[in-house]
Amino acid sequence: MKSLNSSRQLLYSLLVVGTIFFPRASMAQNAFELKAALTYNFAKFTQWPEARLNPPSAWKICFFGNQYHDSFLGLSDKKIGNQSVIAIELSEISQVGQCDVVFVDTNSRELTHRLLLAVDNKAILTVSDITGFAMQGGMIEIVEQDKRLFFKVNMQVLEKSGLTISSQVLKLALDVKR
Amino acid sequence: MLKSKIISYFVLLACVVTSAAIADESNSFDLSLQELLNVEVTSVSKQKQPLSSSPAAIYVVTSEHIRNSGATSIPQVLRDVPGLHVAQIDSQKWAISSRGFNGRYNNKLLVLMDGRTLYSPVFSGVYWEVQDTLMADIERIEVIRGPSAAMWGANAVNGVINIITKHSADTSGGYAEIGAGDYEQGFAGFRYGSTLSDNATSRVYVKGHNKDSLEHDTQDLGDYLVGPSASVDKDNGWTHLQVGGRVDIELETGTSLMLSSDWYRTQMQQTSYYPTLVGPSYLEYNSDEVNSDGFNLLSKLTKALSPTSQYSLQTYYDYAKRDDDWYGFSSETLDIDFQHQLLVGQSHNIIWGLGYRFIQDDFDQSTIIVSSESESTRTNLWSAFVRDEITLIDNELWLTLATRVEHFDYTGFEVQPNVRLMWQLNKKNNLWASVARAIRTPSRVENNLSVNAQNIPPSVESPLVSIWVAGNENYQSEEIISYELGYRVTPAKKWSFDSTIFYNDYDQLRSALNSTTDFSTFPNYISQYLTFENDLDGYNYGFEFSSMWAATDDLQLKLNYSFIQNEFGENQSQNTDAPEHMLSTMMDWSITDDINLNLVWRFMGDAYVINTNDLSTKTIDSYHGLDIGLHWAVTPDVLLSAFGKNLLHPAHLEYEGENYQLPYRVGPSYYIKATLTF
Repeated sequence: MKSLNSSRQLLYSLLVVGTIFFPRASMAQNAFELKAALTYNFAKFTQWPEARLNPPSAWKICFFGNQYHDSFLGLSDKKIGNQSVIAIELSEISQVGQCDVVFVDTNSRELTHRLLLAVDNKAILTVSDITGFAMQGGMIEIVEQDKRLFFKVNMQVLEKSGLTISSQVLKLALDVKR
Repeated sequence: MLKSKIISYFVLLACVVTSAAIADESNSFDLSLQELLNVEVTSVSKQKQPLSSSPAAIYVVTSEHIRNSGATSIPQVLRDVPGLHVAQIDSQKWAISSRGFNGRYNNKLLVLMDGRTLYSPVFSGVYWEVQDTLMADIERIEVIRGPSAAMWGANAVNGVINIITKHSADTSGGYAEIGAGDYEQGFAGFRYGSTLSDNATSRVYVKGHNKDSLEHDTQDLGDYLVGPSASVDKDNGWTHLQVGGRVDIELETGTSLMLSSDWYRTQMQQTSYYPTLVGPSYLEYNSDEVNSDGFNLLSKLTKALSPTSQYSLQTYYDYAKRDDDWYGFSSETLDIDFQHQLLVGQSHNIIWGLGYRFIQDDFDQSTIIVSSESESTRTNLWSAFVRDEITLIDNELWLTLATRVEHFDYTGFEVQPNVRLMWQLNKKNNLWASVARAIRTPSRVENNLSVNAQNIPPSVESPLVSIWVAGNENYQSEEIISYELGYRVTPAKKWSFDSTIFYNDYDQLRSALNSTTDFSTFPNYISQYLTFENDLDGYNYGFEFSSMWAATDDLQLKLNYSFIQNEFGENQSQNTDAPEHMLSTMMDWSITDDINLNLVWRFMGDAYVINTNDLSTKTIDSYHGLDIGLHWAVTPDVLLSAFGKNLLHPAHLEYEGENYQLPYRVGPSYYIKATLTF
């Protein structure tokens, strides 16, 4: 009887610990993961210029913001087409030339001035959750509203840089600036 | 048996569910775009405590912490910053410092809001009670302990507090808050942000509050003051009203313009005493209403010239006026600041800049404060700085060389150099070291004002002695040379530790040891003038530690401790001390998606104040206290909160104003708040 009691106590305490440390068993997910996953999806549904595809090489998805470090590392075993994906954390704008995709997080707003100059007319897909990013001259802006993520697309900038986004993606966009 | 089976079943279920939740984390890359857009985001833009990689003792207060703490003013939120000594003097007044030298007129901590100095070089200090903005509009507060004058300018001797407000694109839509309690008798704030055009966003806000008096206890008063202060009204409540706004315009790709403006009016009740020539006590208490007004207008143009080069040009005008009981003061500041950042080659990250500041002040004299110059004076400050961050070994070793040259009318040329070294041993460990010189420029009081500090009643040997401290136009800047060593370690993803040791060597500190006596009014009274000079020095050293454990995504714990030892001679004419030990722990727990609990417990060791009127030292006993904030998001747009501040400890002194002020006690207080976004 005594042993039953103590095992029951143990079970109870496990239950309590479980609810404290893992209180959310819903489908809800952390925003950092989701934004990294969205960025990967945008890259997947982008048509790249011929010059980028031949010769083929690994896709470089770069990001600013060390809060995203773990989230983007999850990309390392992914593929786009037949090519693998490499996630690269950047600290300086001068490094963006090597990237196919650049994600800038909202805490790096002060970098956008130089970033947008650096990618101007280049086939580099820019993604950010900075409010007003698409308006400022970025390509895709991730928006958080009512606990869901949405996105806006700036077609003018995409077209100028020779990138095309699949119409399937555009259909899902909150707003498309043409 | 059945019961234990049921329990086992639930445990199993709990395990399955939790492991499913964990497994989910790594699955988001397998979801389709459509699915990703349907997933609920757990914590809305949950910010982690940013880990700094800069070679300085820096701590960042996030907007999330500001919200969770429920702080209704900037000093309140600074209470939670490791290494800062934040003490409330009365309902309005605060003493805030890092690494010693605290006081209502602490002159060694530079404070800026969006690049505009809140530190008044005219009186050398910050009037915290009038430095405000809508707390919900603050993006972050960066607190740097230790000197960083090479980057930020003179008076960044023991630290810099940099308050940065949100870009107006991040404050679109409506926001309203309202709350009340005992000390917080009522406060309200409203903001509306809108998109003006394709390339411009803006916001306007208004906020106001009414705060109750703190209580005064005669036990805290020197015996000779109890009688004279008995009948005076000790009300120290106050009201503050502020409006402001900001516009951000993208002029073209890579070029933006920011305009901002604020206006405030503050009415404060204050009780102070003056020395008089009338016995028997030769001092008189008076209660009065103090009014303060301010206005500022700031513009900042930022332009990227290339991917590796960017400049900014900032200009602001600031007007501040204060009508104290025993003096009136207003100042107009015009400041122009140019900065250019450029990357040269692979290893030089250079910033250089030029600045000019013009201040015109106007001083209303009284019988106890007189000016040896005209009431209105003008000062000019010119400055130039350069900082080169050199990468010695890629991703491993950086050397930062910086210096600033300033020319201030009172003191001439000053040079403030700084050398910093940052060594990232590996991904988890980094070390930094710094040697810096900084100066604290003289205030107008130290240069050309004389203040009647105290009148000593006549005795058999002596007539009435009127003691004055007198400004000195040859008074120089105070100087610090500081040595710092820092170590940061992140042993596991969820743990981080940050520690700093420092040694500060101060020279040319303010003294008032030499006096001249004026017998012309003998035998009625004689006047003794103590002249400000730079004859004192000393040093302090200490250790600061902060740590964070992100136990889960929903539970964050912090532990902070700081220790300081001060070695200054006798007869200091400003407070050099700080509590030897300061300890705090914080817990931020999102109990469910909708409920958040925030706890801060702190301990402050004994503090010391110097009464500059009679140079006596007084010990303020140590205390501890608990702050609680409980938040319930009723809907995504409505947040209800309840707060308890300074709990677990009876009303006590936190600090005492240096000049002519009555001491007041800080005790437990409570308030509730509702926040609405639309």
